Amino acid sequence: MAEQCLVNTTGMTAYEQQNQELADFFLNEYLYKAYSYLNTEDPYSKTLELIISPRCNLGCKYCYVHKYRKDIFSEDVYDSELTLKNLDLILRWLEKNKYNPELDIFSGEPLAQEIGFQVLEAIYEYEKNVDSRWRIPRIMIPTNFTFICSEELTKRVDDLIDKLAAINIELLLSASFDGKYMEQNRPFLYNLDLNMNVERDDAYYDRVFEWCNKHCYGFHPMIYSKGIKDWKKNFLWFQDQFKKFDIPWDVLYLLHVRNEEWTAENVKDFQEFVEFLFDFAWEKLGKDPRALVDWIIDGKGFNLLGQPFVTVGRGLTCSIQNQFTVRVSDLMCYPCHRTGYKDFYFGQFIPDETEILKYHNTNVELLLTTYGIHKNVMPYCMECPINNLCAGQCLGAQYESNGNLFVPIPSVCIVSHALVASCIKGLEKYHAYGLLCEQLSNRTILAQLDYVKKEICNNATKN
Amino acid sequence: MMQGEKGVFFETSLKPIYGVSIHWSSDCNMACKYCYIDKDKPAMASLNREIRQALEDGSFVQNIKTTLKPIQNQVESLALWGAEPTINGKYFDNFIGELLDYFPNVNSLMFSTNALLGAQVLYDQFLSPLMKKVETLQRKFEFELQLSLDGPELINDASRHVGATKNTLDTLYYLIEMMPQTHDYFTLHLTTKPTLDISFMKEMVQEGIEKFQWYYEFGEEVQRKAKILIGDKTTVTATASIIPTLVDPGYYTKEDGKMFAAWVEDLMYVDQSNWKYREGPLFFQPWSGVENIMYSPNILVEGYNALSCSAGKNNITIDHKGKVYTCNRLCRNVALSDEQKYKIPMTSNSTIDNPTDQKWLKRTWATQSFHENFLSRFQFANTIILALAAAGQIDKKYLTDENARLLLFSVTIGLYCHVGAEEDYTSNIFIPPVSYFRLFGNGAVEEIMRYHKYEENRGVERPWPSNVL
Repeated sequence: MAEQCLVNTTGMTAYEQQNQELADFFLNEYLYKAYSYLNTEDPYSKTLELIISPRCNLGCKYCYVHKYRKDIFSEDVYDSELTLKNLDLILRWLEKNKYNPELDIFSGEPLAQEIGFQVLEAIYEYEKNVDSRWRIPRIMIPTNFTFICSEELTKRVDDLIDKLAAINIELLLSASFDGKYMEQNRPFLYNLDLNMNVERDDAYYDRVFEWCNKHCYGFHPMIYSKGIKDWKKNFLWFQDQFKKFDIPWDVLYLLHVRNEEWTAENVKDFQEFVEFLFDFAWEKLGKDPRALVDWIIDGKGFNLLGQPFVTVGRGLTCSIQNQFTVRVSDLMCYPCHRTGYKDFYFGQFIPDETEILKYHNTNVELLLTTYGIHKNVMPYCMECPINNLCAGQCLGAQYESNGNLFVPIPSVCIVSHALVASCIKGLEKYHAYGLLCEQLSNRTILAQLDYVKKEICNNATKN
Repeated sequence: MMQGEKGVFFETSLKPIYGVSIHWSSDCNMACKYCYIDKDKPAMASLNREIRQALEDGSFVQNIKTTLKPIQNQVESLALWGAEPTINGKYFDNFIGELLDYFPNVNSLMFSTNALLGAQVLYDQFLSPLMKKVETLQRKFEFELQLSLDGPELINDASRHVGATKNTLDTLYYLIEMMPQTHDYFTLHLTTKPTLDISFMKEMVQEGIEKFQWYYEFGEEVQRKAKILIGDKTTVTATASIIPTLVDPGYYTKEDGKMFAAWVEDLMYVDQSNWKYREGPLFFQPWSGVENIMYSPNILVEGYNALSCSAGKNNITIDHKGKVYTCNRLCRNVALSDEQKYKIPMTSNSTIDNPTDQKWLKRTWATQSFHENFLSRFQFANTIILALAAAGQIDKKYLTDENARLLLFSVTIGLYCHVGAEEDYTSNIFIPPVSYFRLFGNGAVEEIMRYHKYEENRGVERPWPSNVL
């Protein structure tokens, strides 16, 4: 019989106590200080991500909510009454501590269900009485924009934007739809508790673009492996819509879905699309190589084209290390909206006798790792020749694919390699690669770019 | 080749599997209070009945053969795991006979027992059939039999049951006596694995050096008796001189760490001058990790399993249905749980070389990355160590001294049960539990370095050959 793991029963309480102290220390240093209204250096450096519901009216083929809803946020956990009660506790906790982070609201689709509106109303009702110095400044919601199908719901959203603006809270919506020619990846499932006729025809899209333009909201379509062949057409449709509604051509924030499904053929099509984006930008930028480089280095480049060259000041390039996620129904805390699996709960907020929330630690090691780890030290990534050019992968997707949060998915690695190669090729085609390298000071990045460039040459020679 | 197709991408990273652990039993005739195995007796007993049925009807052996056919010539060692192996002893004869026939290169077996059923049962049901079989096959064979013995009665009986110490010692001595003088093919290696709980360490520190003498002299006496009984027999060896191992990963606090440092320091004051039979230093487990760093510089640049267990790398566990797992701990967890978590089984069906069996390949991809990415593991530990130092739960020097952090990590790697850590502590094989660092990061690392320097100066040999490291 194996006896590796004895339990020191006498030490349990002290051990747990010290784990709690460690978690509290870390949260205070890393999170709460950034949440404080006194933090004026970078007031949006840390956000509070609230997961309010597991429900969505769409069944997007690549979406974790659609595929893993039962495991990530089951209906057994969801309770709309508790959500509103706990939201009140969260807002009291923020006020009591004079914290004013930006709130990010996630669910399936918040604005296709009553709870989404109730949450926004509740925030308004609470915050209007909060001292303006530590009132929350902004609420951000990624939405699929199906609410535009309903005039009534659109009006409710408009009213909320105005009400919140009146107390200096900005309501930001981010357009989470992929475009007319990607509809097959985003089928409508059913109405939730709010009825709307979800018919996403040209008239609907016109209303969406018009509305987004009115409020200056951005667009962040996802590039999925399925349907990748149609992305050029889809991109041009976005451009037509931008033109129609006088929206700048480069506001599009493109991000590829980092799920495991990519095949060799998909990657090839993806590369063609990336090279097509360079062609498009080249024309738009007046065929000026310097302008092309500046456009990429300044952080535009449709996001995608700048990925290999633009670094962010945190370990993981997604927003996970800038946020703290709480599932409002049960106040459970875990790394991000994509990792709500029960193995990854690292703590829970629990109200004390005065109804003020206290963080109760469960897994301090995961808490520390989530916020402290760097993408370049992940297994395999450490030896990867393009680790400084790669945006890294999605922890949730990695877990769903290979059972480990931190182990990369090989097919997604190949997509990253392909992206770097295509960006280099795109720049070289327009004599902009050398100019871009001149602007990069990081020697490792330059060496890695050189490595990929040689690989491209070798492959070209072989072919 | 991409994931989602035939999985050939992964095959390049697969390493040979030569060790097979068999989930042989799932119940126990004892209930040691510190054992990590769930004490859900009805579920354990029920699963054990299932295992016995599979042993009786022959499906256990058949399923192993079917699943492991692709590595039939590759397997070299077998181990029996699960719970207490002797409770299914009556099935061993046929079982091992068929397996030794099937795997032509298997030349060793090991298991660990609480020895409650005594020497006669062990001899009749395990040793005797094995000796006969390897004689028939004319195959050299080593059998490592580990007996649970934590120390003198006061320690061992307290955690097991009254009389457990006497029972284990009797088993040890009788087994030596029962072994034949010579055998052309067979050798029995008897070992003890003492685990020392932090509360007893505290007691030793508080009571002073006499308590250390008492503890270690027990080991000296056991080893003395064993050696005398062995005499010039060539069929049996014994390593029983008490080299304690730690509760792993334990629930250690900062205060435990300080006390532990004092415990290690006290080792240098133990009077060993009259001992003749002791083998190895008084404490070795954390030093094994340090040796990895010092004597295997390639560890920092090459893939290396760093004395962590090899589960999922070149060792797998198989159950009575022929399902394969990273290790016996996961096997037990799955078997006793209603919930079949995606992440646990390495394979969903029959054969492990099936390139379309994505679960196997994906799990292996993840597990092997643990074994082969020492520096990556260190970086995960680094994050935890820095936070502990900043919070004042370990020495502040770890905030600024990266070499010290590497050393602190290295002392834990000889203990590290990544599967246990994942399952019970941190949810990920790469994330080490804070418990380790509190234990070693409050002065113990420095004392361990001093202690081993002291033993080295005395010419004390390591408990296993350095080439193993």
